[in-house]
Amino acid sequence: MKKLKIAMICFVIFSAIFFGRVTTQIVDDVNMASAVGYDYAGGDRVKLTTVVPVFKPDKSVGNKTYAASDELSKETLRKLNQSSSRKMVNGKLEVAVYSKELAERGIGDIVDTLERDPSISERLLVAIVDGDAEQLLKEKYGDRDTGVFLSMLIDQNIDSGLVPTYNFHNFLNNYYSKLSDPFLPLIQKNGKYVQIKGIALFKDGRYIQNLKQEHQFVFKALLEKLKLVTYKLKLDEDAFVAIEDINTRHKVRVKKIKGKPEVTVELTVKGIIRESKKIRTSEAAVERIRKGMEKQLEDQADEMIRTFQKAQIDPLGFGHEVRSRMRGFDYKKWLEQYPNLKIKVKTQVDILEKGVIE
Amino acid sequence: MKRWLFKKPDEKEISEHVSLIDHCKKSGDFVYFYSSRPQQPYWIAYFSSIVDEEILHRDILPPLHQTALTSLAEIKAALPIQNVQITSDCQTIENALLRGSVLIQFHEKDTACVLVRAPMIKARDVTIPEEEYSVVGPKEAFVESLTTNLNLIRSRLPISELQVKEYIIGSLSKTKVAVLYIEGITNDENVQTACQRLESLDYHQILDSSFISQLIEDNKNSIFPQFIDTERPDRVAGVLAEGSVVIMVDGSSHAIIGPISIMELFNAFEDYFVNWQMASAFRLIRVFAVAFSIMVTPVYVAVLTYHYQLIPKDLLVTLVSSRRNIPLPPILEAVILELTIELLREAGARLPTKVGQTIGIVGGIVIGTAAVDAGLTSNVLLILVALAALASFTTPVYRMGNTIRLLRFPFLLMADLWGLLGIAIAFLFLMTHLLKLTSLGRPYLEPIFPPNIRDLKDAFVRLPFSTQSKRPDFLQTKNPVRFPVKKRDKVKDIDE
Amino acid sequence: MLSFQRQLAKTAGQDAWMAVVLSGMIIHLMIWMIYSMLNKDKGDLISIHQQTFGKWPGNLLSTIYILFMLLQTITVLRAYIEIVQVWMFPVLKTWPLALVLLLIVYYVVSSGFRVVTGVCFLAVVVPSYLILTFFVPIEFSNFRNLLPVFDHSVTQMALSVKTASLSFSGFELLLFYYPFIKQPEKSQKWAHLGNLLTTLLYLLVVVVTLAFFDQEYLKRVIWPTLMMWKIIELPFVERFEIIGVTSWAIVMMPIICLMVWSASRGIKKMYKIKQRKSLVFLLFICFVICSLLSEREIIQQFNSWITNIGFFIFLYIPFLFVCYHIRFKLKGKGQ
Repeated sequence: MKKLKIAMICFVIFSAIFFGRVTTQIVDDVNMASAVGYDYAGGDRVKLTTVVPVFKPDKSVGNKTYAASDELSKETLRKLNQSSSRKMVNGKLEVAVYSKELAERGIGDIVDTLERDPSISERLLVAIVDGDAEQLLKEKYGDRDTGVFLSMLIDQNIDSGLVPTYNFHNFLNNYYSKLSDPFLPLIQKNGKYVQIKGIALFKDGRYIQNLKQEHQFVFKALLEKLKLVTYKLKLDEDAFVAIEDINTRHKVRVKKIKGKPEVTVELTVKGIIRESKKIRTSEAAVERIRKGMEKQLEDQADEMIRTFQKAQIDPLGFGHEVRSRMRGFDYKKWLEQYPNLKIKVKTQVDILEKGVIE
Repeated sequence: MKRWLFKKPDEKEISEHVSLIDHCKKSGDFVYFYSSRPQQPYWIAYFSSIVDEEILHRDILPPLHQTALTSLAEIKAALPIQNVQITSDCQTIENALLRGSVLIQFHEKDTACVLVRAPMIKARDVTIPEEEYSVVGPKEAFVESLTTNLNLIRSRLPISELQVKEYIIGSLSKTKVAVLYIEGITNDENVQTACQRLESLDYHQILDSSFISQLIEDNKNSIFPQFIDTERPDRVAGVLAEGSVVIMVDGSSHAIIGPISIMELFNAFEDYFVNWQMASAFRLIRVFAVAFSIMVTPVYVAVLTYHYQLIPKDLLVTLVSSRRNIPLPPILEAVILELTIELLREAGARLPTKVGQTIGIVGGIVIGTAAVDAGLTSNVLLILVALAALASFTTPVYRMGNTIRLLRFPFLLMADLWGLLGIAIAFLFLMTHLLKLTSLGRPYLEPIFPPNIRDLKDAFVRLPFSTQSKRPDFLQTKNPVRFPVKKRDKVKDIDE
Repeated sequence: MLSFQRQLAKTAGQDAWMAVVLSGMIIHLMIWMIYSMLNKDKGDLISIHQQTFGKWPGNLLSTIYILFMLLQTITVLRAYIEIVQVWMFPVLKTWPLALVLLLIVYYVVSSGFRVVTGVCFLAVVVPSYLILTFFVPIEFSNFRNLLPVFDHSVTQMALSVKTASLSFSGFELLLFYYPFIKQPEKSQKWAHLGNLLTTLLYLLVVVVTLAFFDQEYLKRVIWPTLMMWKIIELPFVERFEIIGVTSWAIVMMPIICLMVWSASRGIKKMYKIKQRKSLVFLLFICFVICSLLSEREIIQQFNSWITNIGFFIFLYIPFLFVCYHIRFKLKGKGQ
């Protein structure tokens, strides 16, 4: 009996070792793609470019790109493998960029491969590139590879710039939602540099238009709490004020009037005057700045929302706000109502400090 | 006694006796001579190697020479030595001779004789503990003599309830084994289990207490120590007062303590000499160090072989570039390095202290640097393996350190097979094994499972003495109260 | 636990959390029923069956129950292996992993009930750090998703209560290990407390899931919990789902061990077969069926099949409760 037991245990160990082997992915024997770019390659085909960091023994990182095109993204990966000395894996993918041209044709089908693959992070950053994705990825920008560089660039702009917090998870949430539409940061290669150009707006998975640059502040403020950003206020023809260290908060109220919802957004902005041009900062002037800022914000918000309504997109998720406050919510009715909906933004600006001089 | 004198001893007894003496004579250190004194001649026999010549010449021979002693009883009365017995039993005579007694008889053919104990006791002086050295606290350690060791314990526990049960074990070694416990505190069941196991023990030679602990362990196939061996008399006195059973072996400088729970393997006795915050912090560090020591190389292998996604992007550069030139897969790299460390340790342990130290330092630095330079291992792994080795030395119980050394390898193999999942599976086996283990019939994993709040006060942390008014629950002591709890004084107000 | 939110949300949408609370209450009621039977009988399911329905019909029912329990074990095991195959090792064959996991089960169960309870305890304590991981996705959550409350019909709620209650299964094993508890009558409050904790835990998970995912997206995701772990990023480790899947090996162990233990114990009581022998036999069946289930669709089919039978258990316990008490009354009058 005891011998049988030992034999059984040996058998289990043996079979686990000989039949339970799985393919290894040893960290220095794989090419860990850090960025992937998609370009339109005519017809049904998509050109895929991947960036692979090359880790050198002296701890510096190089940059290498591979490109191939096919109908299926995974098939392209196979084609890439044909030209790569190490197995290509995408578990460390940091950024996925789509060219504008491709985005106009819809990126839904291409997103599928990223979404289905369990090795891809939910924190993946997705962006639209104004121009050619391959061209963007080929260049090495910082001391790290392009993938990590781009992710650091976008992350930095999310933390302290005007790009809303938006990763792959947020994108998918908005993409599949019936009530809101996704948007993505728009980047552009500018000679030797990359810069964030603005925000690309989507409808049904297709890129349609850009958000105006001056609307970015309001856009982000209406999505989340803003912290430590700067806002440029134009008072007169040539009088400008810079408000810094801005903290914002917004609250959505929905009223139902005659079966039709009415949305009011209350936006509170607190900031410090850092720079003023051609305007004094006396008590009265501060009051003027305050009022001026309130008005400018409201105008910008109204204009922005009007464009959204005209284009029948809802990147700010008003649909969700209304749905969460109404019982028996009807999607179809809402979509009909949306273009003519009354959406008002009320702002309240507080100037906390004005620096060390009057 | 008179009977022996006048009774004619039968032939069989005589021949037995003679053959015993003849048998002993074969040994070169056996002394057997005839003193032809006019008054009363006598024969004297002993093993010169184990008899104290000083006692012999000072206390035994002079009385025999000065007066005419005609009977064995008179000899017994004349000798200024306590342990004198008169016997004719061959077995007794043989045992006594081999334990350092001197045999005196009037006639070669006599079966009755006087046995005078004059053993030469060669024992070390009590020295400083080496394995369990502590900066604070007493500095006495056990020696190889059971009598001295018992003395060290009795002087710490001068109470009549301290019981010593003695057994003679070993068909060749005839080793004296003592079971110590305090009556009225220690659970009878524990004492009985220990005694029963000792009684049923059948082994030819007991050279050290570790023989006993290996022979009476609950699970002989476990690599976990199920008894603690200690060389500190203060620790023994401490655990006796807690209600444990202690087994001591003559000729061994270690006492074994049981039943124990796994947490006691992380407790240095020093913890009781420093204040409780320190002790708790050190204990937590030890637990963490042990977990680290077992897990770190397997996790390294698992992550680098299968789960590259887990590595944050900033760490990736360090790890991948350190491994860029290394031809071996992580598992081989880790096994080679672990084996190197084990090699150094074994070599250091087998060599004389001073050479051993040098080998350790030279080997560690030279081989480590050379291996990294040659591109055989990555420097990250070198740091991890060295840290793991260091961490395994933090365990206060030496045998637990060995367990940890060994435990790492199955984890490594499983990590190579299925990555982190393999580690989880190995952990499940370990967990089940620990749950199954018992020490003298008591659950090994006690304060953790079965969960026991009272015992947790002195497990991962050591709370102040005032909170520990009760003895550990898992020992199931007869009298669980250590000391009566004092009523708390009324808290003084601020202005009082 | 890794995927139940999806089924819930399909029927009850944002009100899924209420289904969890409701089914938690139903389970409380069931635990009370089980205790009221056991406290009178002082036995286990087999003796209750024999008491209520007579020896042979009772044993037949017990056997069916044990068979069902075995199938449940297989579902749990296969579901876990599937997760490993999808999330970690796509090329891993089913049977070697099943073999190794069942070896652990054999080791645990053959070591006796003390070790089984030990594994149950430690397998809850050791991976309890996973609870903390459910607080991380809150950063990316929108709790507006939970509103408006009470926006679903009674039938929708009932359906989701049905699905929710199935994730609570395991409490009914009380019917087997009751005689092994030291002071069984006093253990009732612990059973209720345990159920309360389970309910709270499920509630936390469901609430966070609903807030984290948009409902349309949630319907597409097969393992929402793992998706939530994916977002966790710590300074020394990214991609927590791999650690989650690994830890799950420990989490699912006690339920398998307990079920196999109960089954082998039941067989011993009914047919006087040594537990060690029946254990090997049961594990062998588990192993064979587990290895035969190979495709996702077949596993899915098997799963839904088991869940549907599982629902009968929930109806069966009240039925047994009523039968047992009627029988008890009749006997009392007879004497």
